[in-house]
Amino acid sequence: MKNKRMKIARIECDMKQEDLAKAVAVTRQTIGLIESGNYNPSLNLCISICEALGKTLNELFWEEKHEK
Amino acid sequence: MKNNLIQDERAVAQKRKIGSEACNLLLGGLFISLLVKEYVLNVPFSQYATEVICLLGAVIYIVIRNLIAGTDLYETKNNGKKSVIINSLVGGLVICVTAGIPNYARYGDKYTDGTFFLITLAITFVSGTVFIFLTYSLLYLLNQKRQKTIAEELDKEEIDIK
Repeated sequence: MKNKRMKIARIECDMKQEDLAKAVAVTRQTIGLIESGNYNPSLNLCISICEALGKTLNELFWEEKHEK
Repeated sequence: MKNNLIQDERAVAQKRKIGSEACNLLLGGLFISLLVKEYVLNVPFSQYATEVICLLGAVIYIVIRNLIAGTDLYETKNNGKKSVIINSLVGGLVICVTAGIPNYARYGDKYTDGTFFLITLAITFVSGTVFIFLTYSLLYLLNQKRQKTIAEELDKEEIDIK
């Protein structure tokens, strides 16, 4: 499933995929794959992305269907 | 039938890691076996051809899989061309030394003049360097092309969002 919230958060921070990739020390391809929903990042990478974008894990990675 | 098997991601990752380690150990063992047969036992090539073929096959497979998967083989950004030249020179030197030692061990008594041996070494170094340079350059170009394609796809996705 595509992670649109992460894309939007990145654009809000005026960051390109390359900038975010540099900020969290991964390749741009990895960011692209996470945003397109083709790669499941580790919890550590999720936290790094959240810190770089100033968001919480819930805001970026939690999906409504998981809530009971 | 409902599949009740537990898919523990930690256990799966651990199994993959163990498999990868076993593969690395096997390749290392093959390389050591090759060196021992060549330099210690001095056996003819036909005796260790299988090891050479397996090692070359493994290396080619790793490179091709990485290229297809889009993993950047030359992670030294902006220093790719420099690394090609440095690797070629180092590779040429390694080939020169590894070919020079058995060469001298086998035909040392036939070299009446040291100059002739030095010329042989120089020719080996130059051919080794050129061979590695051409191989690395080809890989470098293929890698660049693949990275460019991936970057274009990502650019397209980014433009689509905006």
